[in-house]
Amino acid sequence: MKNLIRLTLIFFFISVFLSAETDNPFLSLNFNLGFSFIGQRGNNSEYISSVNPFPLTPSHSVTSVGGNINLRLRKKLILGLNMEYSMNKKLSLIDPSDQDELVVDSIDFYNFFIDLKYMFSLFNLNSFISFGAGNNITKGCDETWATTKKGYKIFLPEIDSRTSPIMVITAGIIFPLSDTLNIFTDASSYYLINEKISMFRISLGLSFTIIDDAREQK
Amino acid sequence: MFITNTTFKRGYFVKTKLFFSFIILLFLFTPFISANQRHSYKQYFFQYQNGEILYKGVKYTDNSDNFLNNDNGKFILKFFDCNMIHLKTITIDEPGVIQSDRRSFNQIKGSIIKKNGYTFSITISRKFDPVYVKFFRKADNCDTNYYQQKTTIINQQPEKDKLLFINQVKLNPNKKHKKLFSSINDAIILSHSKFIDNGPDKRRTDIVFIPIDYYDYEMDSFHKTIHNILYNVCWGGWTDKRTFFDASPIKEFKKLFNFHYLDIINFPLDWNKQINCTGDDCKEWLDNYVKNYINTPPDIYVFITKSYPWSSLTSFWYIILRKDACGNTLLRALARSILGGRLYNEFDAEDNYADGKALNKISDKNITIYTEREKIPWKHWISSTTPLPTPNNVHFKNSVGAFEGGYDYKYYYYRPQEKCVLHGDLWDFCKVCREHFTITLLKHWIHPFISATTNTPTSDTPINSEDTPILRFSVTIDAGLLAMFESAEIVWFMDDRKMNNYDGKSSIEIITSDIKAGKHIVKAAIIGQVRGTEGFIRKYIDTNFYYSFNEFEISKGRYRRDR
Repeated sequence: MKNLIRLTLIFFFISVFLSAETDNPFLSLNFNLGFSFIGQRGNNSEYISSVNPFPLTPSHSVTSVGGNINLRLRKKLILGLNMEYSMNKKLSLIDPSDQDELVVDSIDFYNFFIDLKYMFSLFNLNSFISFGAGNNITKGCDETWATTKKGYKIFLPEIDSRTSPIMVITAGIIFPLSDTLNIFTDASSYYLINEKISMFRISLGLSFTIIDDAREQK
Repeated sequence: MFITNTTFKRGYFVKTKLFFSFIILLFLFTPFISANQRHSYKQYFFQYQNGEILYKGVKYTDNSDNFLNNDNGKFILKFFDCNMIHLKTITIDEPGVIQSDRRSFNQIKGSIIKKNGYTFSITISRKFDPVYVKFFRKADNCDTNYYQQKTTIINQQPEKDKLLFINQVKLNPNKKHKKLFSSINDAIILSHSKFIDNGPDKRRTDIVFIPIDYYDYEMDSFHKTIHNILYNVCWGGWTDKRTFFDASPIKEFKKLFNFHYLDIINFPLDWNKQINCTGDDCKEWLDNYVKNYINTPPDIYVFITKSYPWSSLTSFWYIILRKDACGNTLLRALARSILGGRLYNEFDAEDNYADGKALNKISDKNITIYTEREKIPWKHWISSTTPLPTPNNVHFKNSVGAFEGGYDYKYYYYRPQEKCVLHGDLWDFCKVCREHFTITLLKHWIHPFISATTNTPTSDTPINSEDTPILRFSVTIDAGLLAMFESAEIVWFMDDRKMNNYDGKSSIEIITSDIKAGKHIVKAAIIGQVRGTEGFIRKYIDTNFYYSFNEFEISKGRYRRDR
């Protein structure tokens, strides 16, 4: 984790150094609120009595908050450093053998990734598409016991914090509100390479422009 | 013939003269004897200085150097009787006056002066003989609870370096004292005897005799009373030679009982009022009081009193018997206690109600107010030809029915049989009371399993079938108790349902995945017939006794949480 952050920061500051050579330096800070949609895991056919009583984790959405720093590298190419945090949610699981229900918390996770945004105009709207790569970090938690609605105990084993590489594709639109303030919306698709799970996220956010030489030149 | 007669008369005269002379002399000397008794004080001076105890010029050295510097270095003065039984402790905390607050020891007075060390001046006058005085330094871990301290000290010899001084003080030998006190604080356990030992207390029913208001010189009388109760024939003994242990079902279950007595001096009748306890709290206090002698809390306490308005009084776990009580009074009291399942009295001597009805609507165990067959609790014993209520005549002498009189009233209450120990008869319980007593003994008082082991966790953690695929349970049976049985077989139950295929096995294995998730209890039980009790029980009972394992829980499995 520390190495990842360190590498990311090194990469980012090299990019800043490179961007200094550009004609129109640009730096913005973005904040967003979104929903991450996570697909289902497992299948009811994997049910084993007394061993795997809740084989299916249904698809669900979790609230997430995020932020990123954007830095212009070339005229239409922007480098972004992104961080997102998805908060846990109560999941309702069903035992297919007796329809017993178990409510558990999903696990908090973080996404850290760097992306390259390509800016273009679509129907006179400032649009962008980006490709990114980074890591998904799951928070660990201690083992515990949960009780189903019918009163049976279920063991929830300890989970270690783990990191999984992710690939991200994002598309979004930016609406300028003023010279320094923009509103934007985007949609992202994530793929967790190790776990072969895809996620989808939509978000709405505010973008604060800090440096924009092109604007000053106007 | 004449000469012989004269000689006899002369001798008789001489002896009479000598006798009267002795009486007159005794009368003249009486003031001196009594004066000597009243003023049998002795004064002893102990001086503690620079790690030394001085007494009458004899030097005793304390090995520990930090005696005076130790904050806990309090002095303890202990009094022992001739058997080295601890009688009294006085803790000397601060310089000042030693003044016993017990009436029995109010002759112990003294003072402490802290000047160049400690000087103790102690005056002792006590009508015990002899009295030993021991000087102790208070151990750091001394319990502040007086009773515990007292009982602990009797069994534990003090460490050598704590013992500073021993001296024997002889006071007024060979004189019996009067009872001087009635406080539970003054009660002292002298000794303990397990006089009928049928096995370990833990797995036997322990009955303990305790003397009430007895003193040390009366202990022989107390022991004799216990002997009379258990082994003597009672009134009517000229025709019936049976004793306590010949009465059914005690006779059949004789090996079940351990009998103890504790020689306690000055244990007051109102001990429970003095310690301000009620019910089970009193038993807990008493169990704690005797625990240095009887480790396992006794089941029944029998208090023997020298004077009591009634021959017996029974509560759940204690019985008070008058000194002149007979064995069948104890038998009746046991039947009325928790040991016999709290049967009701069947006496029919009184008739307090003039309004023609019973005040208490009882219909339970051995007493009922009903005469309708279906409402009678012991209907399984009543023959279809027996009339209800049953007339008290020779035709129904041995029949079970509904005989009027019981529960201390002559009318309105019905008892099962004409004669019964609970009706005041000698040794034979009626069939209904005997059945109830027998079932209670089987169900609650026999503990045939020495140990039981299982691999189930002892905590509340549920079992996961992946981690614990097999549950193992095993029991060990007490051979002594098993010998009481004509036939006995171990059977196993889970959640009160008998598990077939495991009959007769002392250890079993159960596959976890075969058990439904949730809480379960496995029980081992014994089904058997105690020798000589054929026909005692007509009521259906599933097993005789159980050994329950801890409740365990099978979990439904595991779920691996994820995003």
